[in-house]
Amino acid sequence: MRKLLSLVLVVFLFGCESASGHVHLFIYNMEDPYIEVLAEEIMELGSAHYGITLHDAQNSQIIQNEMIEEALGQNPRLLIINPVDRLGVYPIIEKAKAAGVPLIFINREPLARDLAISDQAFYVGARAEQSGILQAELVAQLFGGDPQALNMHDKNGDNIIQAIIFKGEQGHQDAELRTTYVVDELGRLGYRLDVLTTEIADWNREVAYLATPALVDAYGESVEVFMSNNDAMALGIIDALIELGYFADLDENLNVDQTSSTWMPVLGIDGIEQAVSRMQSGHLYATVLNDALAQAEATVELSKTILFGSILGDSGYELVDGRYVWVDYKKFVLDDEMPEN
Amino acid sequence: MFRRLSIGQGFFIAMMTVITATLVLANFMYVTYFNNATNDIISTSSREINKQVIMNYERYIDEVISTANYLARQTIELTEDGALDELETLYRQSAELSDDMSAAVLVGTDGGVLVSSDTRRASSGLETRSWFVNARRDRDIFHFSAPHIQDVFENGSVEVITVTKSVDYIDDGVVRQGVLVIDLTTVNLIGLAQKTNLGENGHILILNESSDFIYASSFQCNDATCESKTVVDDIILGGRSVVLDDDHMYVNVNTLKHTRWRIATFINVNTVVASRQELTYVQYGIFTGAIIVSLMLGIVLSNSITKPISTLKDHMSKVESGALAGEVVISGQKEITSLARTFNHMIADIKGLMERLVSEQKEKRKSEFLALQTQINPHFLYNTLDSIVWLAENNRNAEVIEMVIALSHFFRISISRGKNIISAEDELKHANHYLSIQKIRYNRTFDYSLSISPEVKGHTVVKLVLQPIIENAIHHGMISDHESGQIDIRAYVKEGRLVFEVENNGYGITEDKIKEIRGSMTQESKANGFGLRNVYQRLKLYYGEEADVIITSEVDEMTNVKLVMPLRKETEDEETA
Repeated sequence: MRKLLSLVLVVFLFGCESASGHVHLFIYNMEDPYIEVLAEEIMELGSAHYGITLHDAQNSQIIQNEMIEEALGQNPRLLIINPVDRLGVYPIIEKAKAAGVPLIFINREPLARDLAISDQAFYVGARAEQSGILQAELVAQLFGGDPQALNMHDKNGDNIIQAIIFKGEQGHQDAELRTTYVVDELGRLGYRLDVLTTEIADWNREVAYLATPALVDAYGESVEVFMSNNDAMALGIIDALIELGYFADLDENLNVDQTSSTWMPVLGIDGIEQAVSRMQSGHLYATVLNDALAQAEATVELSKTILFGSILGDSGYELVDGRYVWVDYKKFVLDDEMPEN
Repeated sequence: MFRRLSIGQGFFIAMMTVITATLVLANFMYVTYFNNATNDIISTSSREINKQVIMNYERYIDEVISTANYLARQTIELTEDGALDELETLYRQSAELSDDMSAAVLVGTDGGVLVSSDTRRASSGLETRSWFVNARRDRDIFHFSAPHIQDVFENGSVEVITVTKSVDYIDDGVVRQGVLVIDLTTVNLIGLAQKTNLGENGHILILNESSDFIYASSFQCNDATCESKTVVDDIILGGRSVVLDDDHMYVNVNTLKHTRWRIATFINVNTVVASRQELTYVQYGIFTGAIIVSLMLGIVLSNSITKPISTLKDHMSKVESGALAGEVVISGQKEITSLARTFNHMIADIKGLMERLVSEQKEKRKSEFLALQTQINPHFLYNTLDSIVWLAENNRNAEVIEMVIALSHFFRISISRGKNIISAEDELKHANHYLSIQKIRYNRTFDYSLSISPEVKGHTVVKLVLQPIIENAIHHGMISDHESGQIDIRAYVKEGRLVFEVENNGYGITEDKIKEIRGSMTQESKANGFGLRNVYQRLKLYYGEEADVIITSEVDEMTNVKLVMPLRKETEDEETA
């Protein structure tokens, strides 16, 4: 009788909490369109194999810490973390290790020495340098592919590419690497590049949109290409350029005329949905697909390996150094819209 | 389980079980809910404070980083143009504009100082400083050192935190990697910690990634052995309630963006805990009070139901033990009062029946008694008159006279004006007359004696009890064999009883015969021993258990019959029987 009573009480009091045994996905900010797609893909793919809960930290590490702390208290099976501050994850790894919970970090790579704290800490992501290299290749393609004889997009005909770079968050690993590698790779390919300025717009469309008019004011005559660390900022640049009278639709077919003198080449990285539609309308020249679907797939495949012992190699992904799964970037450009030399 | 309990107990137990269970449940749920709620309040408010602290630090660090980023950008641009003077001005301005930026220095790839906000002489061997090495190792992040005495210049004296970041600069058209060094005085860092009110003994610890102290706002805690540090090492990240030196604290450990630091806030929550305890006591008080009140209420209620029943029960058990005492008066529920009324009726009926039965028995006893008494007389009279006729025929006139006188006295006592109870002396006189008559009648073949104790005087007996015994003694004791029979009559008081003893020296009777006689005495059989049974039954009818007839005998020696009766004074019981 007493047992029954206490059972009833326990059920009554704790019946509402049943997140134990779940997989939890922590996202740094759902307002980041690329991350939103990635998160949705992981939720969809993951939910076929386990209960999964999404937590959005709204770009606050404090909030994310709290969410992770709470989740760790519910006896989770696995945490998938897209950290707000990739440098601050070492206590999370320590705490998860103490609780015996495996971790998969996605999209923002923790320091190698932090990951090394636990055997059960993994990373799924793309190599930022690869996106920079691919973006450089796309820029080369835009200018005709011959570094000695640039095409009409070399407006002043000096055979030097005058560029403005939009950089993500200062100090952000991806921002630094993408910026460094797009510059380095163009040099390696033999192009001469003149970076008119590097604008830091924190990955953010709005910030990029607000920064663009001043840059156009200063460099509007000379700039030949905008190279953005991501699509969101590229879209912000395009938003501003449209308002400033760029991107005229000469034949009024609702598609921008890339041969028009008002067309301005803008390149992004990520391949988010709005970027693709801007590409189809001719505004955006090209982007580098940070394949959210592939990353989500790799993440879920890795989680299955961790949880159920399935073999990761079967899904076409490879575990490098026992804890890294690298997903390739892909060049994304609409060939038929490409201007011929 | 409840069957052995009284109605009141059952009712009481059932009621108390329900009430107690309800109260316990309500109390338990309330206390649990209340505890959870206050725990939530403590944790939420502490977390808010912690967030505020972290956010203050974040803002501060963000400012430092944006300055550093600005300097890093300018470094590559201005070195490209070879405008080192301009860059130095920029460094100096940045250091001057910021309260707590002690110095901004660009260290070249070989460890030499390229640009400095300060004119002081740089130390040598900067390339071996840990902040330099770290910056070169992880090039894309900022490095925040632990507080130390400024070592980028010679003879440094202020305590600083060195922030470093690998930056690119152009040297003769070649991109090189240098290290941007920003020394921050610890003033602002400490100020930020002290700005927040964390309550008495509340404090802040800032730890780096190796869990070494960056800063501790508590004087008690400045080395790795202090309790707060142990708590933080255990929590790693997150919040928890702890008790430190009798203070209830809520500890939050959080990371500080960019720095790889953890900030732990120890917030004093004594007041909340104390008031929670107080409220919990009050709650338990109310609970106890409610239990007591319902206990008393339960007793009163169950009593009001069962008191009439138990009164009735008590009365019934009194009746059961034989006392048909008066009516039971019960006030209470309708069912019980009607039950009591019915019971009273029943008792009244039983009483009536019993009274009738008793009076009928009395009547019956009286008529039996009289019948027994009257059985004696004709028998004896016949024999005596027969003897007198025989004496007269033989002209033994003196004896006739003696006999007639004795007979006349005999009958006077026999009749005794209709009384059944006479004095012991009269009874003995009556025996004497009888013996003298019989002695004549039996030709003086026996002799007799009467010995009477003086204390016998003044007591009463049922009349005509001795005569049948004597008659037996004469008949069975001596008639045939013994020529010189002897009959002794004794009257005395022994152990509070009056004893009449009739003893003859006849041939006696066996033990078996005595048993047989006793058996016939107590039964209604008319087989033999008529006289004895008559006497016995009259004694029993009149005196009840207190009277007895005891027969003893020794074969060829004697037979003794004792009549034992209670002592009754002459005035006491004239009326009975």
